[in-house]
Amino acid sequence: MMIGIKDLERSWKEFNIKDINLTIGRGEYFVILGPTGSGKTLLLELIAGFYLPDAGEIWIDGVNVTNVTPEERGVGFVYQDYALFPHITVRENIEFGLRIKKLPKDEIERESSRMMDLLGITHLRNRYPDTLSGGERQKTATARALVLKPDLLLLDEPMSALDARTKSGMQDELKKIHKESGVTIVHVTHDQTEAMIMADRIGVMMNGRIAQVGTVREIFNMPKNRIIADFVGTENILEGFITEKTDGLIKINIGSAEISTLSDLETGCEVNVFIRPEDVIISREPQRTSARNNIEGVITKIVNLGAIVRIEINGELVAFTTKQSAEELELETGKHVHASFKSTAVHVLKK
Amino acid sequence: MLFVGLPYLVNTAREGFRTVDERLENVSRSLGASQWQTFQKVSFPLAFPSIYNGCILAWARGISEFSAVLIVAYFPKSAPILIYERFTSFGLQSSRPVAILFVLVCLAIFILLRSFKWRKK
Repeated sequence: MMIGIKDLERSWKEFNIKDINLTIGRGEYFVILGPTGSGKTLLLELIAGFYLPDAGEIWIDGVNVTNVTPEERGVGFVYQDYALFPHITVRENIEFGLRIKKLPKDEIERESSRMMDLLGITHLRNRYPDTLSGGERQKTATARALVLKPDLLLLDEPMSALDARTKSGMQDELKKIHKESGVTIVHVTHDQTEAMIMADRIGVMMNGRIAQVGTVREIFNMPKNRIIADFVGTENILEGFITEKTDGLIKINIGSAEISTLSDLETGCEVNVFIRPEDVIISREPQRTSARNNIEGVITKIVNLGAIVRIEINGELVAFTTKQSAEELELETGKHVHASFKSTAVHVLKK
Repeated sequence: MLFVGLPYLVNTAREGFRTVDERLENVSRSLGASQWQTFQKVSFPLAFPSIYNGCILAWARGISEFSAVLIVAYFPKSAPILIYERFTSFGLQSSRPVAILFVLVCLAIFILLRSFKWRKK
């Protein structure tokens, strides 16, 4: 176990986090996902030791660090806007921690050169932070934290200021570093796609509390409640009740159609049915396989989102499809179609 | 002179420290620097331009102080007092050279201080 958090509590300005219990394993890539104002950054700052909690305990690497100063925790931290020291160059920023450690001069030079090489910013070594682009700042801040070889790296929305292309390059870079160095990373973001790409496990944070912890699949396909489902982009939240149950296979009446899936809920139970739009396939003819659910309907809305198209059927079911397949199927508003999804793509929760 | 000049220094220095982003200090701590090292290497250098400006202001205010010095510290004579004394004893004619010299010296020092700052940038 790398991080253990017990009943952590802290209020600060308008934020207030409470009842935080979390265990993060060594070498894990853990993403804290939550909307703006949910207290994610504050939680990260508490782990780093910039603020002390009002109550609760923080353990890092088997040591209770609740009252330990940040410089003794040895935790790398990268802020959202990177917080580079503006009065010194890129190289001096990266060497900052090494110089504090009073390492020999040649070792400092070797380590910082190695780090700049790794992140491809050697050519920027003598530049000042305010002359760098977002991506370059991000790399400098990451290098500054990583050069000290911390066991734990905390990233506060590290990609939110980057354009889409720089972002995906940086995501690959971070994954590579994580894999090669084995550093434990806690990454805070409000971007569900980023969480999906990066995380081993995700902790969803809402209103200063951890609402759900789980693997990417668990969070996105089996959200614990409606609010989480809404936040992680499960656009299809249908209401219905269970009409039949045989050998764990249930049938749910959602009014316009019947859905079958596996569940341990009982007949007569009122339920919410969650289906992710990317799990719904649109076709002109019904797909007659036993493992699939079929809903027949009329397209009520089509929105072009670039590479993908968002299709609304009967005003209640949302599906994503590629632009190409939408064109091939000649999809347009008012057209009659069949939407199908695997029974395993259906997540049922008691209402 | 210190008495009238100091508020200028204190106020501008305080403003200078206030503009240093707290997160820079946090990051410095996470990189292993103690509170004192963070002050030395981050907060002070970033607040330095403000402190420097405060020094110039305080000096300018101090050097021009007249009335308080006249009452409590007549000797050793500061330039404004010397000018005043020569004016009251011997008239405008004899106070003029001292006043001009005073203005020139102050101007030179001021330009020197400013140019040092520009060169640093």
